[in-house]
Amino acid sequence: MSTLKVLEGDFSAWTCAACGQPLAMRPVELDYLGSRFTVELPACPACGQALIPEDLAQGKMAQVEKLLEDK
Amino acid sequence: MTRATAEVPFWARPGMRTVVGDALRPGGLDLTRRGLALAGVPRGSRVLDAGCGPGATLDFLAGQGLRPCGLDLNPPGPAPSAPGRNAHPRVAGDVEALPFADSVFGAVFCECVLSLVPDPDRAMRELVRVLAPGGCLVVSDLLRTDNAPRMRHAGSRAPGSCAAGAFGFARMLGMLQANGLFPRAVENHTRLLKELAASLLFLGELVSRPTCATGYFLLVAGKTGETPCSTTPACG
Repeated sequence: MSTLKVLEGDFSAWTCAACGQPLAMRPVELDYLGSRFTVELPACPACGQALIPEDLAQGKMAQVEKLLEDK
Repeated sequence: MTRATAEVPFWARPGMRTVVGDALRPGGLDLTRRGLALAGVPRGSRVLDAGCGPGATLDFLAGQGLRPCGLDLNPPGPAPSAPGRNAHPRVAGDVEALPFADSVFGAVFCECVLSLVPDPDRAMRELVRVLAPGGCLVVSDLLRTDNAPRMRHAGSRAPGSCAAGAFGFARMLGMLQANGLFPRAVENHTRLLKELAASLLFLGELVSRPTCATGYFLLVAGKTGETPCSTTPACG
């Protein structure tokens, strides 16, 4: 499966609070209940921590969770 | 659901290729591989892919030592940018009226197609007609998990969504029985359908969750009273 582009917008102004590095878009693996999705998220190139914007968490990600959980 | 997404069937949405490549169905070629393993089709067998689409399954089957032939309403032409690809025979035709003689294929694959055809019973009769003695039918498709009737109007030739054309598994078993077939293996792959829907949600090509109760299955069937394909030389 290809990396899924789930975000629009420019996140280059964000920096990692722990490392001070500017975030860069990179593939991040999301695991839900045994299913794995590779999505492109802004992440720290040093420590790998990814930023999940609130609208993504409460929008598409919440919908995917409900779908996989049959809710 | 927006008007734009409601009018475009899943298989025709650009995101499908992002998720499953040219195998435009849940599970992509992984489920084809699984079906082939369950069917045990001998190398060199002539195999029909009924509803071959862009031809990903044809390439896969040829890579497994089989002799695939594709059928689709609108088979695409050769792709010069992909050497070695699309070199298999392809025929323009209707799965409800297969342009082949009886008993000529050692195996028939029909993946995510019966839910799209106007008359699945007629299509099943045709798929079984071209199957050689000892041959295997490999079907994967959506199924209704409630008792609701098929939403697609019988006989409609308009292109529609697979979800609207899905029917219950009891009907599938009835169609097999009516044509002298019995299921050798049945697997539930609803998880793959959910993962595909989830990926399309992520891509913004599915705005809301599917509303009808659907699952996904893989089935390998053979003719009643026959020896499985893998031990029958006639399949070649």
